[in-house]
Amino acid sequence: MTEHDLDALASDLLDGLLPADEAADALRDPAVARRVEEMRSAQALLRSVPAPDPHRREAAIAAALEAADRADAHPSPAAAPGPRPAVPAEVGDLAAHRAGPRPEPRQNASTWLAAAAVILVVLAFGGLIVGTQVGSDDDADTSAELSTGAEERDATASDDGGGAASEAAPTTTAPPTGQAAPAPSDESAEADSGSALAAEEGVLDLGAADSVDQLAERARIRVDALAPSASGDETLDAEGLGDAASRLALTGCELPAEELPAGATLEVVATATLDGDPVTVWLFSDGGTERMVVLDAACGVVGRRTLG
Amino acid sequence: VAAARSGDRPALDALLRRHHDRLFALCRRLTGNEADAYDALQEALIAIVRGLHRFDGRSLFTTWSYRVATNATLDELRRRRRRPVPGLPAEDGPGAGPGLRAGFAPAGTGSGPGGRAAPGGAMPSVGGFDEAVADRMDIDEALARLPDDFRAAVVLRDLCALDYAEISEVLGIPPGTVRSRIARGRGLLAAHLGNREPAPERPNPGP
Repeated sequence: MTEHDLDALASDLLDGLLPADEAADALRDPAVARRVEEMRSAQALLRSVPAPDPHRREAAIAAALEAADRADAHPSPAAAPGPRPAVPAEVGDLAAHRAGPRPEPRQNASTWLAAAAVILVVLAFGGLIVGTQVGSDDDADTSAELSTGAEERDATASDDGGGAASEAAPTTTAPPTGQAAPAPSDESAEADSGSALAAEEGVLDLGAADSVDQLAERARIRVDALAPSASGDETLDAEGLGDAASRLALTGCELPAEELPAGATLEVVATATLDGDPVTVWLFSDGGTERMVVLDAACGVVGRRTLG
Repeated sequence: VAAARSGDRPALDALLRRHHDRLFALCRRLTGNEADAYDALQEALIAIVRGLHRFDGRSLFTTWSYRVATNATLDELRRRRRRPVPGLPAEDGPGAGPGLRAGFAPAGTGSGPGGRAAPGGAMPSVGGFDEAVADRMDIDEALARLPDDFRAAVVLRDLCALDYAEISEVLGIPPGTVRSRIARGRGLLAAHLGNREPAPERPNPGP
């Protein structure tokens, strides 16, 4: 009997998968009995998990409930049926940004699609009027289809944003970011296309970093540099930050809603490269503490740091 | 579950509390240390509340939540492996723990990597390093040496007490594969815990 056969037999015996008589026969073999006992001992050790810390337990549950509140405040179209309690948005300052004059990226897309639909409808009706063919019903049908298609695309765009945008809406619409600032000169050459694009767009670029900690250190320096100063240089500028955020929303990621604690204020959105991969860096103030979240190109969280 | 799905916040709170500890245990065993377990569990709980509307009731909520937590934990482990933190030991050795923080050994013990003292005082401490701690470090280290797929199957079976069909559903693999992974994982685990040379990947011809 091979070791693998022995493992398979012992495992089956442990799970009671063999008939009683076959199990009794198998267990007469000392090697099998010993292997079953070894597995049983391992099983007992595996089950002896220390209890979770009560404080961390409460914190974890509270954070999950906050995530649920945020999701409820911006429900997805595909969300659960049934009534949901009205939950006010927790990020008031970001909501205020949304109400500002700057158009949202998705609104821009909707506007363009709607305008395209109107133009198509006008052209189609123009064709009806000046056309020489009597069978213009086809044109009307076509225009209707085009119009409907545009509306569907518009709706689809909204749906696409439903899952993510519903949760990320507070951050999408109002993330103030740093003013355009040059990347560190000795590292900007290493910036990839993502950072290059960011530079063109005037988004704060933290350059290339080898680690999240290095990125955090660089972010800390930039935040200090961007803090309002007597000279007025490189002060945080809500207008400029919003523009940068809108560009980021079009070209990059949005900070997942659950990453932004209730009451936190998003302050800076920046780009960088981490180990050569493009990332976006989100800095926010949480009760006076500066925090940083780093997202990779797939918008997954690759690091979180407290900047002290 | 139905009330929680419909937006009843106290129901959701109660649901999370009811399942928190067993999900923590799963994360704890999959990650190999408490700190990573808490991080993975946080991701899992958020994934659960965000994905609750997708739970269709065709399986038990327990099974579904195990699936969410397992996926969240394995994702977290993969992310952390891609982004090692400077200053921490590399995790490229077979004895390295699966989690970011694995690789610590209590000073002076000479113990291999994979185990670590637990923050939060969850572990008993008599004389600084008692037998229970040693046992847990052994099991953590032994589990860390298993491939993720084997570890997940064994933990879901021996800790969470899921049957093969449920594990098949959680991991998205056929029941026959579940059975073989559990057998292989248990064999490797027993071998590591008993300081016995594990069976080679290719079966040896028997006598």
